[in-house]
Amino acid sequence: MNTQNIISKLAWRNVWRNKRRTLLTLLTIMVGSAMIIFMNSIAKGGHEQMIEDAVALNTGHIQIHEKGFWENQTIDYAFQPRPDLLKYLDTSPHVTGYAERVISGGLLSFGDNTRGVLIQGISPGREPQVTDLCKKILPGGRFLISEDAAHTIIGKTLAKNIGAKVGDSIAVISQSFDGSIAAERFSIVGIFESGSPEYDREMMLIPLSQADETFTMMGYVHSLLVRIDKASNSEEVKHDLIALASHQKVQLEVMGWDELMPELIQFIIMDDVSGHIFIFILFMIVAFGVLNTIQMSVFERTREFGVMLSIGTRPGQISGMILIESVFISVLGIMMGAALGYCISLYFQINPIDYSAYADEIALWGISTTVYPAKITSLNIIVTSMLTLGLALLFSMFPARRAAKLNPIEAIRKL
Amino acid sequence: MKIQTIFKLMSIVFAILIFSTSSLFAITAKEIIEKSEQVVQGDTQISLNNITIKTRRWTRTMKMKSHMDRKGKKSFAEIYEPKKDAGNRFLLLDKRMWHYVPKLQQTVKISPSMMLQSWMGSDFTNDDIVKESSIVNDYTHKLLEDETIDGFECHKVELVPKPDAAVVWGKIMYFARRDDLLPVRKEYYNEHNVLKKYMIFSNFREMHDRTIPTLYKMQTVGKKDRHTLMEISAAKFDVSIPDNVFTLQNLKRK
Repeated sequence: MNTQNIISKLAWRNVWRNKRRTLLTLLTIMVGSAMIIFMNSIAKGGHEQMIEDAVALNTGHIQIHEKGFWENQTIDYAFQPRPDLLKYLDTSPHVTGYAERVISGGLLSFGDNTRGVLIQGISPGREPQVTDLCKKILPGGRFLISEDAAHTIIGKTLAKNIGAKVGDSIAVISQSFDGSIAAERFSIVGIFESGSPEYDREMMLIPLSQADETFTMMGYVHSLLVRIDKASNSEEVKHDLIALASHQKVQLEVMGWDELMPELIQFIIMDDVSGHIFIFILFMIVAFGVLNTIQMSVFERTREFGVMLSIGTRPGQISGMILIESVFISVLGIMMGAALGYCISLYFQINPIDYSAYADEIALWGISTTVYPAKITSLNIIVTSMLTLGLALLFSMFPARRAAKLNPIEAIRKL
Repeated sequence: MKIQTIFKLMSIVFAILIFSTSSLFAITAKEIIEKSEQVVQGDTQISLNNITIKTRRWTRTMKMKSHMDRKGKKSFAEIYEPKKDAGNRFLLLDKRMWHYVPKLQQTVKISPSMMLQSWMGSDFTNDDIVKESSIVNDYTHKLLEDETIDGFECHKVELVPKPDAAVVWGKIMYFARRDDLLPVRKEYYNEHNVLKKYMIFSNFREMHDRTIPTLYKMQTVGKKDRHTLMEISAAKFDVSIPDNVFTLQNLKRK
């Protein structure tokens, strides 16, 4: 039997000599890494859900406008989508739907009430492929249909503020694409509650064909919304669209969801920072837990190390043995931790945390997501496990070096 | 005791004398603004205006006739051309504004919070068109160093809104010609002291009984490809305007 084997065998036996201490260390590592895995999955799942909800609500994964629209948000930035652009959207496997929109600000008048509103002309047939607004209609109303003309659906808060209900007729004045005064009377066919306070307070939807007429758009649209099968594919589609857009007659801007919703990205970054601080603290607890137990076990065995050194064991072999002990415990710990973390995360992936009761408070942040599922990724589990292992080994170095530096004679006399 | 009282009295009289003589020789900032407004707008005014809105896509000219009673804070305006927009009328009574839309045969009330929104897609705000806020009464005035603008030596007056005034501008810089106090330039700054838009007054011409600038150009800073021009093609000042002009009935008349 070579020395390597002897050292490993000794280490394995040492691990189980003080079972209670080893179990405590195992528990520290296991619970610690499981908690970190769970924290990461809940953050990841929550953030993805927020993005998904926001994209589905009114934004889409990608929007195409005439260059300058997003910055100026005025009616005169509009374009006519060329056939090659539409053909790409029709045929790309990642594009699950797209819809054209006419967007304008205006004044809504009902009785004595006048309010500033955001008017969106949407295609009743295509819109449900891109956004979920059609699912947010309150009972007693309906979503727009293709046969609609001067019909509208308006936000819940807006309806309440002006005192209008389904069946009422509202007047809207605005400015047309050609600069003339746009005015139209619309009858309300539905009221929506999107969960976004902003939309509920100031948005009204009208059929695209009617918007084209009311605002004298002559076939021009302000925005083309694209929905992608998976958020992760949106970069690829965006890349293709930018290439196509450069061949168009007018300059277009192709914007991803991250550019369209900078506030949401800001919120996620902020949330990530506090999450990372918490995870850092957890890592430190695990690391010092390991340091503590290994240190204690080295301390207890000072005399034993003295004897080993006296009979010719090299200091390197002593520290190697202690490190191997630590590896045994850590590897076992992270395996159990990964399993536990996976189980907890899986539970919350199937049974998402439901904050519906606090929807109003959450809405204050401009977030309409109330159900937060966890999301497990292999990257999360691997990175967490490897970091825990690395930290445990790093922190075992100190006691290991200490043992290796012992003076055999003094060590034998100890205790 | 008596002598002291006399002294006090004398010093007060002296102070008043100095104060009044100084105001005899130098014009105050508020007087500049008051007189300038008085010349340009008169007590009442009836005018024909061509408003040209140039945006990056199109240029449109509207013909508008407006009646204004500055003292009574009343104004009434109607668009005559182009045909598509003809019959749109605007009425302001004190702080309330209405817009009559012929297509809907309906009057829309414009709430005070919308006074600073763009008027018909131009660089003017509703407030600029109907002159609801008063640069005489809603601001405090301070005379700064004279400046030369477009070759005219000008008084430069800084206008800062009074705390209770419903005004969004952080300050306005008003440049009036030294000779006749006619405005040459007006600069609008936001609360962070950043220039947001400016109006250039030009084409000084004889109009009715006085000389006034007849071309107003409003330029929003940072939007080079657009501006709004207002040209006064005819104007009458200090004529009496019948009261029934400034009524909702007149706004809605067929």
